[in-house]
Amino acid sequence: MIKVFQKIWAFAGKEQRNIRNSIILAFFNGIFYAMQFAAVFVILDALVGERKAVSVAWTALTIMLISIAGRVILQTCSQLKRVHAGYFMVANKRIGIGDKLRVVPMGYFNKNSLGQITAVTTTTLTDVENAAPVVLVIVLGGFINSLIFTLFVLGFEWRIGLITVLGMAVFILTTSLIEKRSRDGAPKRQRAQENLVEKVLETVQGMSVVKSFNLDGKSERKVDTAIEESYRNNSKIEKQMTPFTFAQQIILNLFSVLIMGATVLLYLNGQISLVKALALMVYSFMVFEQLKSAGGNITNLRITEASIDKANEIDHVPVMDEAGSAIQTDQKDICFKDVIFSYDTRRILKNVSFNVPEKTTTAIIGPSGSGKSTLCSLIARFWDVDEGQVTIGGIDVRSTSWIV
Amino acid sequence: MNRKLIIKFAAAYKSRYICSVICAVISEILGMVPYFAVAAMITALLAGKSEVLFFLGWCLAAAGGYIGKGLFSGISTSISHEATFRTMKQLRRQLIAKLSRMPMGNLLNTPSGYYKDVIADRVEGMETPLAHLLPELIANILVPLMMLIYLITIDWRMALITLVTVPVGLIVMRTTMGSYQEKYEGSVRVSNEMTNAIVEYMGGIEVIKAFSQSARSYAKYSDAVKDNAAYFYNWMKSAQWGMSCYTAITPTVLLPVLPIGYVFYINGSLTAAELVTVIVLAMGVVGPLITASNYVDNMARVSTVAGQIQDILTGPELVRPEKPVELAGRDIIFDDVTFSYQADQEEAALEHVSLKIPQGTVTALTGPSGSGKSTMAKLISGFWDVNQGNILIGGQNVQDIPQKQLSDQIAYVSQDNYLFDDTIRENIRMGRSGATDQEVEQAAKDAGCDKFIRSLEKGYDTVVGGAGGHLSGGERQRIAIARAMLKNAPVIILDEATAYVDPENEAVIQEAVSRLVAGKTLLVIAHRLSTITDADQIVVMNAGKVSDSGSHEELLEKSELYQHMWQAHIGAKDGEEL
Repeated sequence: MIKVFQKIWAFAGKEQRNIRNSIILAFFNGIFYAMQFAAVFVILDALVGERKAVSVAWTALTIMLISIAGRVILQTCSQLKRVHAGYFMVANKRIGIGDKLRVVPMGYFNKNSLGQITAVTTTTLTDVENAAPVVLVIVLGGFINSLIFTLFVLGFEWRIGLITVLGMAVFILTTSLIEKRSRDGAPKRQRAQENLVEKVLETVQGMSVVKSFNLDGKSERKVDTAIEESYRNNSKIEKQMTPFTFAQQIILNLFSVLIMGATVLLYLNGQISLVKALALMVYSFMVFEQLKSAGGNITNLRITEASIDKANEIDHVPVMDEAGSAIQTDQKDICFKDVIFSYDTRRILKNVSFNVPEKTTTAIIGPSGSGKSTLCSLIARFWDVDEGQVTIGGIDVRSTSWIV
Repeated sequence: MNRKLIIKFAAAYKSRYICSVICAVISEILGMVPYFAVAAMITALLAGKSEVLFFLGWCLAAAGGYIGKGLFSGISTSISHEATFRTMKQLRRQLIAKLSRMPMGNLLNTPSGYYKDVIADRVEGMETPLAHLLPELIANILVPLMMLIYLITIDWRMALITLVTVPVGLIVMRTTMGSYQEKYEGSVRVSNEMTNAIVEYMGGIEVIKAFSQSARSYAKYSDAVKDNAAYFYNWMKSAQWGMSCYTAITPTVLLPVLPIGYVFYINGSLTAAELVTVIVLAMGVVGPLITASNYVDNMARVSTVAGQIQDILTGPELVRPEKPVELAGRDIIFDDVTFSYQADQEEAALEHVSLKIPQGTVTALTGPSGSGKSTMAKLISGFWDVNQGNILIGGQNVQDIPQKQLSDQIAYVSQDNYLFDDTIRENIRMGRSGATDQEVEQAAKDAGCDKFIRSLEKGYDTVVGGAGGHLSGGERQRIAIARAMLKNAPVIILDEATAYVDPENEAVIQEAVSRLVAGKTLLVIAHRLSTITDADQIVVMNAGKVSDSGSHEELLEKSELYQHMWQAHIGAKDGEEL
């Protein structure tokens, strides 16, 4: 699970600062949340001691108000930083992909059709946008608040504190179990979704052909399969995850019961005072609340990770070398020297050499598919040649980002 | 209204949803047991009870309650998810089916990214609200209600005090909720704009790369992306203080309960055991309230998405009868046809066009670009309905001919021929399902593409992507022509079909076409006038009107526009020959 947070962290890039600050603020938010427990204790203490002073009510009220005020401020700041991080890290990634595409050789678009990249940039990254902040807020925030609570309790009554720690440990254990289980599910869901996007696009774009050739049934079958596939994947993941998620909730609840039982036993054995026992009974209800909602979001964690992985795949796309500087040339002769070029395995140009002198008109003719457009694409550097050289004014088009 | 539509779709799985709700209710009732248990134990502790078995019994009861709660809520969630996934599947199928009934015009005028977004993404986004809404909303209303009843049995004043934070929180929230629907709709708009920008940018990347220095498209793309992020962030920013107050105040029922409950205790109107029980119960209202508040977001989401789905599903359809009609011959007649692409458009694409295309003849449409040639071809193919007048095929109005029957009559090859992400063989076979491999290959030969297909590594089994892979424009066109030839329809429409084909292959295709069209009605749209001089009838279009018609020779004599075009064409040809 730590790996997922690391991934989100790495993905965040420039937004790391916002995430870090958000987590720090969430930590203090957790402290203010736990203050409620102090107010409860003040009241319980007075009840058991049978003290009847209005000042106790004021103390409790004051603590509660501080707790609320602190949370309003900290939550706002923390939340805004998280939201900023969530949306802008995705925006940065989208822009990064757009930027990257400008230097990716067109040859790449063979294997990874543009539809696929479009799907990643829209759907997949929208998943990150929606899931990443939730994961951070609920999962990470839940852990942080539970941790603070546990620390409070350890100081308050270490034996109950230990049970709490044990409960958290079991929770983390089951979480990683659930995580492993969802490990194959999420990428499959991802693929099903992308496939659906592609097929829907194909259906929409190919509709005119479908209509003219009465293909209604046939092409719909493809998209129908994709819809069915998406349905089956969703359904399967849900079936896989639900028993685990709820088993986890049951286990956490049973730890609450364990705390109740232990509290009673400790009290009956005279190990703790009545007020402590009462406080711990109340505490048993509060302790795992946040962990539970964290557990319910493990699926989101997995979706986020799979989405980030998918988006990062585009990083590994080969780019054309970009030296980056503009080069001034005095003359603009275009020269092909022994150029060999293939689209995948389909060889288009075989040892092509010719000269286009500056300020002249050259016509390229030949049957369609003979390589006319390819020649031009190589000059404009849509692709890089396999062998040989294309030069403008004596400068290899690959040597620089642009020639002026 | 919007929600109703979704409910209509979800209603197909009504019994599943009802099961889910019943399980959720059982789950929440069992979930109350631990609260009773703790209340009983606290009362016993304060009363000085010390029998271990008594406490053990209550602990076991609490454990049992929790286990039961977990089991039933698990079942409830499973059932409602299954129903939701089925609902989503149904919705998607309906949407896809609708697309094929829509006028092609509406489809072509909307960026394909929009449909993709609705069908794939937006429908997917409904999972959470649909699957969780019913069981969880019921649970989250039921729990506080049961808590409250229990509280009233202890002390009605405390029950009321527990509720104090709810109106306070709601009032705070209302200040942020005021424009929620509007803001949400805005966010859908912004993200749609972004999707369109992305689809456009990626679709046009080749062009963009060629002109990478201007980078205008890239700026447009990145602006749309940034706008999207900024919109959501600013929205959150404007609402966050209110939301934080709400999420901090509302669930914190202890705020009034602790001090006031204690004051009651001092008064002697509340015992210590009662107060502690109230504290425990009051905290049970916390969880459900937090969860319930999340549904505000979900509800608005469902209704906006439902709106988009509704817009598509209730959009205009081409209404065509199911039963095939008797066609008397294949004459095509335009009878005073007027047509605009958009209803509010001032200038019509076609104005009062009347024309007869006799069966078994070759008719060529020519004229400047934008003069309405392709529009006529598409109207015959039934892509749109005319605004005024009639188009008749074999004496029948095209609007009275079932779409399937009409499609069977016409083979339509346009400039942009979409090749599906399938093998070349299957792409050609689409012309006539059930055609043998030999027939497919014969059609390819006739269209002059057999040779180049065989030169590909995998030949006819080469998969051409959605965008046509690495086939050149001419190659793709020839495959599309082969597809149309295979169809063997009585009416053939070639809309600039050979525009990208080299002269050598054009000759091959023309020869094949002339063989193919023996006894058939052929409508050709061409800029290269030399390819149509032999046509039985040449129709010169200009600004949506028929400017003139006749044979090549007749037009050279009487049509100034045609003379003009012919001169320009000859001139260009001379230039080519240099």
